[in-house]
Amino acid sequence: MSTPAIHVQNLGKRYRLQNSDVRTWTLRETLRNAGLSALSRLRGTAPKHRRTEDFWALRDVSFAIQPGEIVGLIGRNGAGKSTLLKLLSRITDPTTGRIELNGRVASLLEVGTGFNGELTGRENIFLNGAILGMSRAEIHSQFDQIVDFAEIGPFVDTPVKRYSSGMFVRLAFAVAAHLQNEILIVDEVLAVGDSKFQRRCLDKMQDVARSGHTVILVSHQMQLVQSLATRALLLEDGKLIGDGEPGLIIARYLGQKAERYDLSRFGGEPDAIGRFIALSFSSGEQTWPASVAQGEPLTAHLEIELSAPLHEGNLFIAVRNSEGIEVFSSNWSETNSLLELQPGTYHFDVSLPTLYLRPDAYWISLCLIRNQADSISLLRGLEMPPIIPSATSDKLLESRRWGLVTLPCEWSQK
Amino acid sequence: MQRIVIEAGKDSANYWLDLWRYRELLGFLSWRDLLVRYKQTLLGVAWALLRPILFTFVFTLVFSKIGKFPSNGIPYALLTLTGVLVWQLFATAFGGCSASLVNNAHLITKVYFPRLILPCAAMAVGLVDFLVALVLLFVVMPFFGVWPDWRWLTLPFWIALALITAASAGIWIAALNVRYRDFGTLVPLALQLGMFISPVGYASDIVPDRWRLLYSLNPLVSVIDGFRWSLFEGKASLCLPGLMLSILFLLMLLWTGLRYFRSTEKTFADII
Repeated sequence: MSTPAIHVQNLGKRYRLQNSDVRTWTLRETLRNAGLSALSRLRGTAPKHRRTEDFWALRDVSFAIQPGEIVGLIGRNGAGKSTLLKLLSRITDPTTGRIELNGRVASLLEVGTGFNGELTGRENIFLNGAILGMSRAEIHSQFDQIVDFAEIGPFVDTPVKRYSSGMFVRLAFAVAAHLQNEILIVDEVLAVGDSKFQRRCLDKMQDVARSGHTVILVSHQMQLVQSLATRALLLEDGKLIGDGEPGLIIARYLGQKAERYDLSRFGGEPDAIGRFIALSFSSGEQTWPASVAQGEPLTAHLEIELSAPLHEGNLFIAVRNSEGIEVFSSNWSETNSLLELQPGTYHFDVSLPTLYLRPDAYWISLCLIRNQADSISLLRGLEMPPIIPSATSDKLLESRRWGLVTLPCEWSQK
Repeated sequence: MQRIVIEAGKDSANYWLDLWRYRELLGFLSWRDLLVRYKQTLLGVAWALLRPILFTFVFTLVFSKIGKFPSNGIPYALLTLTGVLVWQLFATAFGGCSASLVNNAHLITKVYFPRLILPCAAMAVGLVDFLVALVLLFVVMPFFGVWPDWRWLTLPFWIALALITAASAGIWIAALNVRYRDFGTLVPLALQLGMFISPVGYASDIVPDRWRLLYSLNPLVSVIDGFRWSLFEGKASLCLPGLMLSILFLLMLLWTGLRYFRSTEKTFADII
């Protein structure tokens, strides 16, 4: 592979918490503490330890990102996403580890950093552009496009404090969208503006990445990450616990503590008439087993929601192994007639033939179809309980098998 | 392509090069401060003139007419006006410099750039105000029958020295102010007292000779004296050993200030 755009090794960031949450000290406290410790030293008693608590916002994080990748960074609040962005954008320094950045970095941690209400739109374009790392010449050459993109035309010489909040946000994003920097670091910036403008922002982002720029974005909107990112990183308690295909990582994030995958947050076109809302697994009496032995029963339970009648509907399921190879697929109409359903919520069960699945980790994809062939909702990379060798299986026997699946073959000698 | 390596616990290898790369931003930030300062004021640039005129008037009245202070043949109004101009250059630059980091906290926590740019950019307002007022000085001088000789060519040196004084003190205070906001409250107080400790409303000759060197520890004494010396045909006395002492003291202050700034700037975003 070529030189990575971003290369992070063993990155860590420690914050010292003092007396819970005092962040700025007053001179008085410092003097008082200095006085107290001097006093106790005079008396020959050890100075009382100040209650300091170490807090690792980020610990031992390593990854490499290639030029042109759009990486979604996901995780709960406090998982370390913002800290990682701040380290990558050089706002704060790491406690451990190393970061290598190949290319100019632009960080968009908020919309309109450095905008000044007293200044006009024109002046703010220059100021904000310079703050984000554009040169004067670059801003000059992009100026008209920025004004066009922001749709502020006649107001370009009005102080931005008189702008509507929509105009303000559009202008701010327009500047950011025209950055020429090779690496863009974006924090939840897209969650602004009306939906039409958001759409244009998304398109712009994809253009940016297509032209070889690297994008790292943090978002709580899984749908956005799913549709935009080519890769996702999952952080939990300051550690990197997942790195891979967005669909898979998102499902893992959403399913982290749940009894079932809550799928209602993503998948499907906005105007789709139906979508998947949940997925869970069971084996016999057990719901969501940690693993399933070969040959044990395994059933996937799907829940779909329809907002309009479904005509000639169908459901597809496909299973991939850990190498990403599709092992098999199946659909409702193999054994039933096509679905004719009224609006509402419906449950479907499908039993999976574990006897034929080699011990491995598997991911499934789901698809909802109408009019025989139109896809309404497609979800990929949902992790299912891994298959383990059955209790009776022979290790030696197992090692003599290869291929995608295990099929029962009858041997005889004549 | 630009390559940046950040390693924990290591100083950035090309600190000064980085500063140079961001020189355009320095220009933009100064430009912003100037625009914002003059935008919503009714009198605009006139403010840069009004303040020195008022101070000159009051000081001349108090020190010359009432206090009967000597002036070495320099018209007292001009003596005071020069003092006030230099003082304001220092005060505005120093004040801007010390508050620059805290005032731009929203930038520090959201984007990277060499932090030293902020105190530097903040001095621009002081300099522009000063240059406007300097025009006033040159306009009124002939009315008092004063024409500068060759010595006025040294003017840039004294202006630079005033700015260095502001920067040396300002960089210290700016960095300290991030952690201890007390220093922010200290600045106006120091400026009010400093105006009387420095020879703004009087000539520095009134200080007895044996105290002169000690008095020069205040770098502004040399700056104001030098300024008057350059404009009034050398009529104002310039204490050379004092000047050397001031420069030495300034360089020390600037060097330690920069060191302190660099050692703490990495934590600015965390504690501001």
